[in-house]
This record gives sequence, C-alpha cells and structure tokens, in this order.
Amino acid sequence: MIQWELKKIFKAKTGIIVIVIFILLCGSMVFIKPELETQKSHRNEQYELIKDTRKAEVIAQGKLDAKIGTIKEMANSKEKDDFSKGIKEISTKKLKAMEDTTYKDVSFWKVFDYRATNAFMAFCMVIILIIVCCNIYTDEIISTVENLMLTSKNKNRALYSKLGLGILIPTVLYGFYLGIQFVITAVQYGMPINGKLQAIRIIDNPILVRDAYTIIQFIAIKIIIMILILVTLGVIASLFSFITTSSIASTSGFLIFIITPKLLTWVKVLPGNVRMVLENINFINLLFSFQGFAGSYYGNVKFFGMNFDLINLCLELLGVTILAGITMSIVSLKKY
Amino acid sequence: MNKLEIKKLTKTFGKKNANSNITFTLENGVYGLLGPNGAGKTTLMKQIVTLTKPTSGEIIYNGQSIYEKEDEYRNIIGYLPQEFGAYKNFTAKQFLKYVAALKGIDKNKASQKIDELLNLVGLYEVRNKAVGKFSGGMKRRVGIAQVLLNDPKIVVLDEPTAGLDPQERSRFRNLIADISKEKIIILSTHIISDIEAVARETIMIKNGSVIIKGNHKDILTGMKGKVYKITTDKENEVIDIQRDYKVVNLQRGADITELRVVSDKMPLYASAQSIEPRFEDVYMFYFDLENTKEV
Repeated sequence: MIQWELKKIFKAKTGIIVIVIFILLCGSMVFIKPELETQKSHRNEQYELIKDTRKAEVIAQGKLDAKIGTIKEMANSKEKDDFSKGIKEISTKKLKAMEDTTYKDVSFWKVFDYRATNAFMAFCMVIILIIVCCNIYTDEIISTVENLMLTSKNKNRALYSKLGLGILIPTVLYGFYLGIQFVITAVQYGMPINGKLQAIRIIDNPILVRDAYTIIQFIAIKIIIMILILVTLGVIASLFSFITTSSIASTSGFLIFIITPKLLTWVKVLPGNVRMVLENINFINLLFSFQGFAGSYYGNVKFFGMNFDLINLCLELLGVTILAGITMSIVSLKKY
Repeated sequence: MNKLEIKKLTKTFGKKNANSNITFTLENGVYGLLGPNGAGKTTLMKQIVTLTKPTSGEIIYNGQSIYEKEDEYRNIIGYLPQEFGAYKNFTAKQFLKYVAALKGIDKNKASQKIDELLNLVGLYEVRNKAVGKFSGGMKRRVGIAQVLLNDPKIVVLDEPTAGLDPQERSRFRNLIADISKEKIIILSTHIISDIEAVARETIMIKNGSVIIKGNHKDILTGMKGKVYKITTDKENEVIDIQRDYKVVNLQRGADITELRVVSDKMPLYASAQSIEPRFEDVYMFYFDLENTKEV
C-alpha cells in the first residue's frame, strides 16, 4: 500500500510542489558554504570585507593552532563548578586523542557538515512535511475516498502505510538530500579525505564538542540526530492529519506543536531547569540552531535532586516524543 | 445463500437515537431503503459496512457477528457511499486498481476484472482519462464499478442514482437487476421509481425505526382505501384540500382540478373516490412531501 500512497502524492499537485522545493533546495546548496579553514575574513568598522591574503595553509594552521590553544587552556582550567569540570575532562580527552597538530585538508567535510544540517534544509524539510504529512489522511476525507478505504479488506494496511510514510518520507528525502550533497561537495572540493582526524578541525567552537569525536563520527551523530528530529516531525504531522478533518486544522495543529515549546521558553514563571530543557528541545532551535545542539556539551540540569546531562536528556525527550507520536497515531487509527 | 440479520440495532449520537431497536433479516435480492432525510438510513448502512459500530444490538452475517472477523467480512462488502469521489488525477483504470489493492485482489486478476467492469459500466473507452474530467454520472459509474471489484456478497448503495440523468438511471437499474442474483443489495434512495423498479422488498425508516418492511404487493395492499381522487372546479376548495390532506398529485385542467390525496379516512368531498394505490402514495402517506426529491 505504501507504493499506492506514494503514487497518490506524486500524481497530485502536492507531489510536483515537493519535487520543485527539493530540487531548489539541492540546487541552492551549490552556492552555500561555510568559511573554510583555509579562509579568514572579517568586516571592519566601515563594514568593508577584509580578507586574509596569506597562504591558505598558513591561515588553516593558524586557525588549528588557535583551537588547540583554547582546548589546552580549558584542560588546565582551575574552575571548580560542574560545567567547567566537565569541559576540562573533555578537553583533556581531546588533547590525548590529538594525532598531530599540523593542518590537513578537511574542506570536503567542513562543507558537507555545514550542508548536511543547514537551517535552510531544515526549513525546506518542514515545508515538505507540512505539504505531505499534514495532508496524508485529510486528503482522503477531501477526496471522499475515506469511506472506501475504511470498508475495505486492507483497511489497516492502508492506514498504517500512512503512518509508515510519516517515518519514511523524512528519512528517505533526507537520505537523498545527503547523497546529492555528498556528490556536489565532492565535485566542488574533491573526494573526502582525512575523515578520521579529530572533529575539532571542522568546528569553529571546539570547546563545546562533547567528546573526542573523529570528523566522520561527529557528522554521523549529527545526521542521526537530524533524522530523529525530522522523523519526529513527520510522525507528529501525520498524527495531526489523523485526528483532524481538514488540511487547515492539521497544519495549524502541527505548527502550534512546533512553536509552543519555543514560546514557553519566554514564560518567566516556569522553573529555570524546565526552561533550560525547553530552550534546547524546542523545534525552532533544534531546526534552526542545530549546529549548537548536536554533539555538544552544555553541562547538567537538575530534576528531583538528580543530575541529568542536558543534551542527553533532550535527546531522550525527543525519543519519547517519537514513541508517543507513534502510539497516539496507532490509537487514533484504531478508532477508524 | 447469504443471510444478514440485523438484531435490535440501536445507534445513539449523544441523546439522539439515529437508529432505534431495528430488527430485520435480509436474504439474496434487492432491498430498497426508503425514508426522509435524517431518518437514519445512512447510519444504518454505515453500521452494515462497519464504518461505525452500533451502540447496542448486533449484525450477523451467515450466523457470525460481523465484528468477529471484520477483515473477512469487509472482503465480501461492496459499498458506494452517498458522497463518492475519486482521486482527480487518477485515471478510471488507475483508481480501480487502487481500490483493487485496498480490497486485496491479486494484481493480474484485478486487471482483467477492471476491464470487464469498465465495459459493464460503459467506461472502457475513457479508461485512461483522468476521473477529474468525468461528468457526475460517469464518476458514479466508476463508483459502481469499484463496488463490484471484489464480487461482493453484500452490496450497499447509498443514493446511487442521485444526479444521474434518466438514461443513466435506467442503465443503472438494469445493472442492479443483472447483478442482484446471489447478492444482498441494499439500495437507499429518495427516488421511489428506482426502488419500485428493482427492489424485491422495501424497508421504510422513520425517526430511526423501521415502520414497514415487505414486498411491494403487500405494501400496496395495505394502502388500499387510503388513496383518493378528488375533482373540483372551485379554487378555494383546492386550497382547502391542500391544507387538510396530503396531496400526492395535483392536475389542473381547463375547468376542473384533479387532486390525488392520501388519507386514513374518506375525504368529505362529494367527488372523492377511492383509487388504486401506487408506490409514491405509500411514501406520501408515511412521510412528508418536502422529503421527496424525485419520484
């Protein structure tokens, strides 16, 4: 039945819109890149762009040295608070894992990492999920095919295939996106090399990276977390389609779900620890400030007298949200 | 032989009884379901096709509750809902293939059956045209074709001829007559002539309850002495009759007006004479005129 669900999407206008958005997204990424390790520039007081004209290797080595210097400084920190102690421990680990301190070409990984989890990509994915998943069941109501489906032998297969699409669409689309970006980046910056070096070589702020990850490990973690976020959104968008009767109601519900946690972070009466978690777990920040979340260390947060690693707690909450979304979808489908 | 038993079926929505203690048994043949809007016909049909569950009572097919093995039961149902639509961008053939997949029909068998049915409903020539470009009648025919895909034992048709022109209605009646062998066909409609033409029995529903179930002959026999013809040449008398009786038909001539009325008692007019009842008189006798869209 999943094949038929896909056929329905791609035969409708929404399918064409999704394809256009996806092509625009993939195409526009050709022009989007971060400042490479071999480049350095800043704007002066007159807002003129000042470029460092030294040799690329010299600039890159300078940047790497600065990063290593910062990590060393943190490793030797005398601060006694929990967060600083955590950073000190991680920094020591990073220094021990450091293979050598000379610059090596990591341009491919720097750009691929930036493109793989870019905020514009996240925005386009949310639009696609709204178009496809928020209408995945309401379209059946609008086309009045709902009753035929619900009185057919394969009613359950048809319904669960819709939930399946809520998981598959974000995963497969993101997978395609990554594949395309891999090829584009390889064409522009050469084949990926030096992926086993430390992740701090491609990160502008190396302090907050939560472990001595290699570049490949670090990017893999980010991709897995991004899939987790997109699947959560796909499942929740489908859930709203199952429990509402119109496209507007479904989309509104989905947007409220995305925006509410962010709005709650501004409610001063909420306890600080709750706001701290909401600050990280709300989907606005997750999607549009993703670089500061995945693979980072932000210390602990206290609940009921117990210490929890803030980022791990947020990831667990994300997992709980997916499970809750799937469970609620199954419950609502059983009512049909 | 198929046997569908409806036993003490009640469906409530809040405080309103949409169906109240309905009991009857259906065997192979066409059954007309007649009643005004809001009488509870669609609710009853929705329960028969498992779209909604009864508040109390049961529906038994060949000795087994339909909810015991729902998937198996749904496999023998063909349902044409009141509001039937299809995916506008699908061709007639693609849409039927999709419904065949929903009904769990093997791909190869489905393809052959779809061609057969498209021929039967006269849409074979336009099978590769998008359903969105079809007229209302053509869409309805696609609906009828999808009903028959799985060779159902129970066919439930909710207002199947609504919006069809006379030619299409006639074609539809013939089609129903052709397929009615070895099937239970439940046909809900406001169009009394459709029921008169094809139904073996009629079930009349009012305020959620069955008020009459029987064959046309018995129903019409029961109406004897309740249908009258009154002729008059006075306009004020016409107005009085319309106010006091249910007028089935009013025919104005050059000088006199002829009224066909239904009434329990002989109307108190000198010209009143008892006449042979017709099926539309039965509907008028039990229901109000405003609910009869077409006869």
